[in-house]
Amino acid sequence: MRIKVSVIVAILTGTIMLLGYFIPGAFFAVVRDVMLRSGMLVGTVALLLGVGNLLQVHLRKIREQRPGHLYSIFLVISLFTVFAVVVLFGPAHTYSVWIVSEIQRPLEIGLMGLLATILLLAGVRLLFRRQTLGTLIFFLTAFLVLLGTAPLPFISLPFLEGLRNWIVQVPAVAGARGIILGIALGATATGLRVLLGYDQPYER
Amino acid sequence: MPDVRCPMCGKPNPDEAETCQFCQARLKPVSADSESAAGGESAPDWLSRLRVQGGPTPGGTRELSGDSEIPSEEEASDWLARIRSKATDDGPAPAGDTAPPEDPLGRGRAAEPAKPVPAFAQPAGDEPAHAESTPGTEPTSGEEDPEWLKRLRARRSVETPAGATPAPSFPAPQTPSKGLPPDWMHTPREETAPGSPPVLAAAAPSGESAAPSWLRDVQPTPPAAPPPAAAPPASAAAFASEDEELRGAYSEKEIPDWLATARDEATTVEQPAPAGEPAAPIETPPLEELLAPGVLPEWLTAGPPSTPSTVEAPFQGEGLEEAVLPPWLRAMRPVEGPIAVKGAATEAEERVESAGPLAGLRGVLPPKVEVEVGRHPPVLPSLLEIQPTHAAHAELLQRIVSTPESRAVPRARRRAQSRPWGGLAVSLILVAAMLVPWLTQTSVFARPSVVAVETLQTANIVNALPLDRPLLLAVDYEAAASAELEAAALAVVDHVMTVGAPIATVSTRPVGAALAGRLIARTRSAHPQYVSGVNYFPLGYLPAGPIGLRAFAADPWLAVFGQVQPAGWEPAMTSALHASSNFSAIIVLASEPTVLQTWIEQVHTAVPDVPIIAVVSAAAEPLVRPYYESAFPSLQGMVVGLAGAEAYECLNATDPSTGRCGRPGVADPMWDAFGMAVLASVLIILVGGVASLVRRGLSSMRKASHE
Repeated sequence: MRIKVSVIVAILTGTIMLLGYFIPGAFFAVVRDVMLRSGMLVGTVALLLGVGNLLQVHLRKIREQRPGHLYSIFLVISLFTVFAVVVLFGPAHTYSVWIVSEIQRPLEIGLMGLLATILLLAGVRLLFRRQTLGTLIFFLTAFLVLLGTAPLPFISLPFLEGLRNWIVQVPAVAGARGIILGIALGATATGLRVLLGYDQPYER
Repeated sequence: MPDVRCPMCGKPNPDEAETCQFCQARLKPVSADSESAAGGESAPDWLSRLRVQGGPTPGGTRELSGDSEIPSEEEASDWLARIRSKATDDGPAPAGDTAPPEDPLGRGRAAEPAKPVPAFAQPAGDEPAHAESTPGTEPTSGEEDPEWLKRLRARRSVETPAGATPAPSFPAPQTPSKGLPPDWMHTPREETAPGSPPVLAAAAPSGESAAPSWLRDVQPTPPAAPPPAAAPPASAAAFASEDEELRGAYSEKEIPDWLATARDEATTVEQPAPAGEPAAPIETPPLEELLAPGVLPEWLTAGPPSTPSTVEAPFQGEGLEEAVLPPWLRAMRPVEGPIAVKGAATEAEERVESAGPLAGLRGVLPPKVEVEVGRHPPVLPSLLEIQPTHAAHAELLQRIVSTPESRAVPRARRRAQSRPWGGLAVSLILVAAMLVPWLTQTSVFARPSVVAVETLQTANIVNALPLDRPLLLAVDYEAAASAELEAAALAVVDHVMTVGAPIATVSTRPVGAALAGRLIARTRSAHPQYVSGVNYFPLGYLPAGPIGLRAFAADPWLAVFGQVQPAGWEPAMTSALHASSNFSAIIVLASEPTVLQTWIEQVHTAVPDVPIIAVVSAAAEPLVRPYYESAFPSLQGMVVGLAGAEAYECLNATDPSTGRCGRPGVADPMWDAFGMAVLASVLIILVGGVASLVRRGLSSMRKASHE
């Protein structure tokens, strides 16, 4: 059986990192720090590679005059502009903050507001198109949670707040805990498979 | 055990079977039983030897050659001699009777002594039995006639006047075995079988002299004989009846020349013979003359018939090459199946009748024919040998059948895109609801009267922050969630700055550093004492996700700056940033629960003593709350959404006179617009629900009216 070097490196790295969580000591701490810094560098370079790939794709699109190449032109201009500002002035400079605060943030907030409107409209249409028990439950839950979250004019109804909190903290939390537990078990199983060499995601 | 083929149907039967299992034809001669029943002593010696020597061949036939079948004159018993002498005395015997009949083939071979046995069925042993049991052969004189025959003759002599034609009266047949016709009735039929001309010539009665006396007595008297001149010759009389029949079937043209010649010769030879005189025996030409070319007809000189007999078929097939079935036919051949029911014959033989007149008899009825009407055919076990090509074809057929039809379906006409009236109306309603408080400058919505426990714990932790250690503020939310999270974050950061704890910001998102700068910039207006490098340390962007967080937990400064030392930063505070355990608290601003989960897993496990506070959106609350409400909580405080921000602002400073927040932050102006938008949403959902119910009711009523 031929054992690949990458598998050996992955198993040794994972084992050392796992032991570093449980065994205090200078050896594991030093090895762990070296590996973590190396991982951060690799991740940073990977991000740069991703940016370079994105730029290459859109430059090709502009060069070949494909449909939508005007958007690619705007993307390339924005990329180079922001890159230059951040590199020249730093990420926390006023210019950099202005770009984020006055351009990116309103755009994203507007999209979020549009999403809220679409969700509301979809909920109403669901009542018209599909009248089932699930639809009824969805309708009542949304109605009660919104009514319990919203402040009522001139009055305060602690009963509605308590009902909203119960819905959010009991049924929703129960489902959320199940999801989290499943994620944890899945992550544990995946880590063990990688440590034992059954899964080799680095080979893809 | 050799099988005996049935002479009637040709199917094989066991050797010991007396009757055919298929057609119930008798396989063994009846005379055997009758002879044994009547006493075998009456059979002559030559007949006994003949039976012994001429046993049934496997094919059910006997050898026609061999002189052992022909009894000699010495071996013939006296009763046969008496028959012959009586026949001679009765009158001039026809030529075809006493004299050796002329062979129709023209060979003139005497066939009378050696009666050829038919090619099937009756063995030679039957003939003596026939002679013994047939009244026409046994009694030759009046003294030897049985009593019943004597009485019959006497009665006929009395009843019949002289010269009158006696009424036909036949004696009752005396059959040797019950249930079977007398053998003498079989004899003429068998002897007239095709292929045995000598027997035909010998057995055909040519005149009254050939019949025994008792038969002449009981038979009706034939009409007056024609004059002797017109009477046909003896040999021609033997063929008289045959000619009459043949004329009906064959014309003179179809009679071969050799047969016509032979008939003419016989007529020529026999005509001069006077009536009543025995015809002289015809000289048989030598064999070479008979076999000379041109003498024999073509059909006789031709080769043997190509159709093999049923007996010789198995032997002819030995030298043939075995047929090879084609693969597809061999594949369809059932490998295992009921080829034949073994023991059927034995079962039929062993079957004993239990009811009816045949009760107690064994093997008298044929086995029941298995005709089952109305039942499903039995499922025969069969193992098909499936070839790979057959399997491939079957798979292809299955795929063709199962594949949906790929014929081009005309594309349905695209529905005209409905105009977004609904979405536009909802948007207008929401925008109008949010603008009403700002336009009217009224505040009709009450502030939260009850502050959540997690919000109180957060405020308590902030109040207890040390001033010599920095507080880590992780800005890990997207710009889209900044409207909601900034309100909560500004309330908390304002509280922190009010306390005066140093703040270090970091983010695992590219825009996080800018959002952190915006957040601090908005808060710094109220707290101008916060200066970068002194009590505010922007650590910037932390790449590599969980790996970066783990490295940050190990050494924050090394993870962010490495060996670089920013100019103007406070050395004491900078040294505190070399260990995550030096943080007084960690406040995570997260719009997604997975981000907070990563912080808990990578950082909180490294520095469990450092409290973590989560400021999250309302959408992330259900998935974040388990970390706060567990028995070993990973979160020590939470501020959720705009409601949590409004409550936290009120905690910061409440105006005792008005009861409202003494120093309103960002959340308070948003509270009325938020309340109006949520109420508008509730009303839209309510109206939509009622409208759907009304529409359903109308549709059901319309349907009911149609029905």
